[in-house]
Amino acid sequence: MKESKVRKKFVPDNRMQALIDRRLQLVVGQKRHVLCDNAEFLVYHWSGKASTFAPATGEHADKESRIEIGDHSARVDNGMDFPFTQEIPSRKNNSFELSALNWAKDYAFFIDHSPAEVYANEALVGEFHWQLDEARHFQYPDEQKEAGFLARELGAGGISFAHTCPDLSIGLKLGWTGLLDKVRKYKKQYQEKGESERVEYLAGSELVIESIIRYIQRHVDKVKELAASEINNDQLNIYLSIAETCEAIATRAPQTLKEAVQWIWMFQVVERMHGHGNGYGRTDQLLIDFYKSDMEKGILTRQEARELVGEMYIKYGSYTALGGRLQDGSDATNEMSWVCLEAYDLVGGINHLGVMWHPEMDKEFYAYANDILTRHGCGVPTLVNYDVLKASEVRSGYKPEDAWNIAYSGCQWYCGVGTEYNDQDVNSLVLLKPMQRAIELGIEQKIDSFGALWNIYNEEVDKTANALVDFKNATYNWQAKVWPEMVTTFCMHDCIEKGRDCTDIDAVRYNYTSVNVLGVPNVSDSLYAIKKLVFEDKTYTLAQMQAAIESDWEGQEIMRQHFLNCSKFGNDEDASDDMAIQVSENVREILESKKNIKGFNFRPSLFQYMGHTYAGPMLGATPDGRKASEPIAHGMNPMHGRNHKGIAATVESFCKLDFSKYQGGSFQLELTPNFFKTGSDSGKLMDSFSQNFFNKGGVQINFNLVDFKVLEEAMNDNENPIYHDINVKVTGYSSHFVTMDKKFQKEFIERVNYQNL
Amino acid sequence: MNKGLIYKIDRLNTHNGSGFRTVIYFKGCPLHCSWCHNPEGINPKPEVWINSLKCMGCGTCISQCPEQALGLIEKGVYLNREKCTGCQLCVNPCPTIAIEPLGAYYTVDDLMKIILQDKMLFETSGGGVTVTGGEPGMQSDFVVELLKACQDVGVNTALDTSGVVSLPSLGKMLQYCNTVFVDIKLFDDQASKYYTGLPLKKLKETIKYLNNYKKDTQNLNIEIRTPLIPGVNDDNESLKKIASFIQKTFTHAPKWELCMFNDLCEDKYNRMNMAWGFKGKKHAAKDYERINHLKESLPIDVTISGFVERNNKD
Ligand code: SF4
Ligand code: SF4
Repeated sequence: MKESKVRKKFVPDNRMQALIDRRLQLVVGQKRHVLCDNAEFLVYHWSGKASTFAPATGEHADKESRIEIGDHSARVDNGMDFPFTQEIPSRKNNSFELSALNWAKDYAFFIDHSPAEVYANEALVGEFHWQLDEARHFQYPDEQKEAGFLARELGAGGISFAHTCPDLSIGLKLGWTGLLDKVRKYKKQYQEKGESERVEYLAGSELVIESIIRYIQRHVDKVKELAASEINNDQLNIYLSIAETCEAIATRAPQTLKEAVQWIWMFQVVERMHGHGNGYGRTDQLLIDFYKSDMEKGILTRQEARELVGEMYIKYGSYTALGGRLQDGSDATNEMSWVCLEAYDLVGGINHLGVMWHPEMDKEFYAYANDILTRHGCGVPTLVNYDVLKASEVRSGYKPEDAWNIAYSGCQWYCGVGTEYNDQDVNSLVLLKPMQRAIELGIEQKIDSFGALWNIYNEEVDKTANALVDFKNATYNWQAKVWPEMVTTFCMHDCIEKGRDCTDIDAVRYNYTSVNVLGVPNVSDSLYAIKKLVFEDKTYTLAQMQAAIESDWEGQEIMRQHFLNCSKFGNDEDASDDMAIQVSENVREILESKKNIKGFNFRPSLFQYMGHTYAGPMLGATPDGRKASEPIAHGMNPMHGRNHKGIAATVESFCKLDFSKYQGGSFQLELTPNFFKTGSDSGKLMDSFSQNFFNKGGVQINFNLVDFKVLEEAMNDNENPIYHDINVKVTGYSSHFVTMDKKFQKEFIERVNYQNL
Repeated sequence: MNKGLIYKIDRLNTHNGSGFRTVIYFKGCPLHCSWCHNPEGINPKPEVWINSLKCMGCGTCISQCPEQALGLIEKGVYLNREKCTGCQLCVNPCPTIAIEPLGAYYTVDDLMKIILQDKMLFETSGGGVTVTGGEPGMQSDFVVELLKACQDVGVNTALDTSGVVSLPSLGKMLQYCNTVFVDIKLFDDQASKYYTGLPLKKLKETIKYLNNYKKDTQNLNIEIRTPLIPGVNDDNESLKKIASFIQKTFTHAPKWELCMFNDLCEDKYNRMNMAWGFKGKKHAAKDYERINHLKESLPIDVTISGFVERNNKD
């Protein structure tokens, strides 16, 4: 929905509006785009080229093949590569080593050469242009790559990079100086014990924190310099206040809400500088004590609190969570939960915050969340079912004392705050591949029953899963030496204490490997059509079907129509829905039976963020009647155009799955404005719809209110500024519509179009 | 067991009463409004129609038809409605699901199963079930059973009637209704005959009946709806006439709603082999403004609905 059309409840003052305007200018200037390596990366989450995620500059992003997946980047791209790339210590001295200390020296150099910038009107500072993963030369050893290519051959892939959720309360409590003391304390202990590897890691950590403190200090210097020549009194006061805040967080733990928010944002900046970024936990829990104490002291107003959080959202609307429950099971909603939603209502735009619903949640708060969702119309907040998230973590093996503290942390995933490192969202299993092999083998073996085909399919999925396991283990063997995530590690439980990076073996408490499974609806629709038309009705043979698919159904339109119009998942028809359950349970059981070298099993997520758009042509036509040029289904959502019985029936189908057995499976809901009758309370309707969905066991709703005709116009007139402020929730992430790759735009429009027929 | 002939069931509907509603469309209508948005609901018998976008002209259906009602033409398949008996034997064999059945028989149990899936939604959104048509009154025995079954399990009910319905039947249905919607489209007898096929007498009786019913029982919510038809009743004078009739007739002023006109049903007319007399007519932003302005001068309160603001070029 167009941002300029939103009726906000809280009106930004001139200063806030100036910041909001700058945010849009950055988007229009393409300074916030997120690029992805190439199409293969989208599908397999690994391309064999970069070992990193979403590089935008530097040697990892090939300008020809990279794809724009949106503009949800926290970094501001200034169009230049990091100017000191050749001087990065490991490059300059040709001294790249697979070691955490080697990494830390590069990081410290990198941050020391990243400018401290302060912009007009902003009270919250910290802006960055480069990520170390684009500038530092690094590669995994060949054995890891070989395992990667083998896995991809069989339909799986993945990287290991970020995608966890640090517990920022650790840092808020200690501050940078406190963290430094902690690192030194453990370093000393391990020195005494003679554990050199841990000592080396902590020595690296020390360098990193020191460089971060210098970086913050440079912001103080910068504002002081600006203040010296500032004549506008308002701006001067802002500068002085920034100096005070930054001085404070450079030298001690934050004490006020302002310091805490600045601390959190600065943490994200220096952490994102080492690549990608994470979810940042439960903002309301992190900030409530600061808020209360400031209010008690009378040094803060509610509006100031909104503006502080709002500024952070303008900087970047990270994946964060509100609501949920406390450890004793009671509702966790507090004053700060409200402030955060109000802050969004003040600044609007792209944001990835999620509200964690549960049946006992403060009703008014949840109503407000739904009001915002329908009023702003762009998927903010994401609605998730806290009890299902928790149940799924408990099922994985979480101890209850950790499981309660989970946070919605990314597109469709959630994470124990500070306790897990799971590769959420960065591993991919393309389920169509084993199915394709199974069909070929079935023809070779002249099978005559669906049961026989199923057995082969089962074996093939197992093979693909095994290849993925080998690849992941080869990665895990090296990850902490290739690319430790030191800044994240400061806010992870048990890691500094152990002198180990959070990516390392025996570091975090929970380290299951999560895998995005791509194409479940297509595989189940395909298998169901085969079962019916080949083995039950005997209308076609497997070989006839295969020949038709190989030629992309050329000249076989009647056959294609028969396959296409078999019962399909998403219409509340048991036959096809049961197949979808069978297929997803099967891949789940197979993955769960595999262990990684960290001692934890694999787990599926019924989601994939963008691979479905590009996978179609790569994988060819499928027995569900799909032509090669068509995208495949997004996550567990039925293929667009196939849920012809409407949203209510799709909800029934969707909720036949037990989401507590999976790592997320978001329900994508796109409605046009006339879905809601003029004058009806759309927030209340959404409130009712979402609670009904959650009560049936659904886990997440991504909701967009869009007029597909407007989107169509926008797609054909990308440059026209009237379309620049249309925000959408693409899959699990948000973006300005016009900044996305054309293919994504088209796929999105088709989805919207079909859902509203 | 009684069965109802129903041509559409729409869940999660927000346009026919409060909250989310399951809307049940009964087939058959005594009126023939020339602007009807559901022409497939007029004939009180089962029918089919062909979605020409889906038809690939394979000819499979032709041999299935016992009446030789289907034939191939350039753009696919053609249906001769004079011959078609609505047996729907052609529906399943079509590989592209281009032939869609219009009208299927349901028992109350069948419907209750569908309705109860959304019971939770009805409760939290203040919704329920709305029976509409066609004219549900043409199948009033079945409708009474259905509405009663809904109320028995605490589901809120609404009846949407054209007003052309026998009063004893209406009375029976109202016993199990929380809300009744009745259309007042025109206030000129000649125009009514011309555009809907019937004079106004019947409708006026119904309205008076409703008013008395409400006086006696109190607990019926009456809502009047007026579809605004470009060039037919969307002028000041017509609306003022309707308004003053409502004002005079009702002891307690009911809710009144004006529904803006769109042309989304044009394709339905093609599929029904019927001529659409309102080609290219729809209410634009300026009409919406005009009606909103007009609203101020009407003697009773009215809401305006059904206008989707496109507004992209500003
Ligand atoms: S409904 Fe029956 S009569 Fe009509 S076209 Fe189909 S098969 Fe023929
Ligand atoms: S069977 Fe279907 S696709 Fe074939 S001609 Fe008849 S309506 Fe068209």
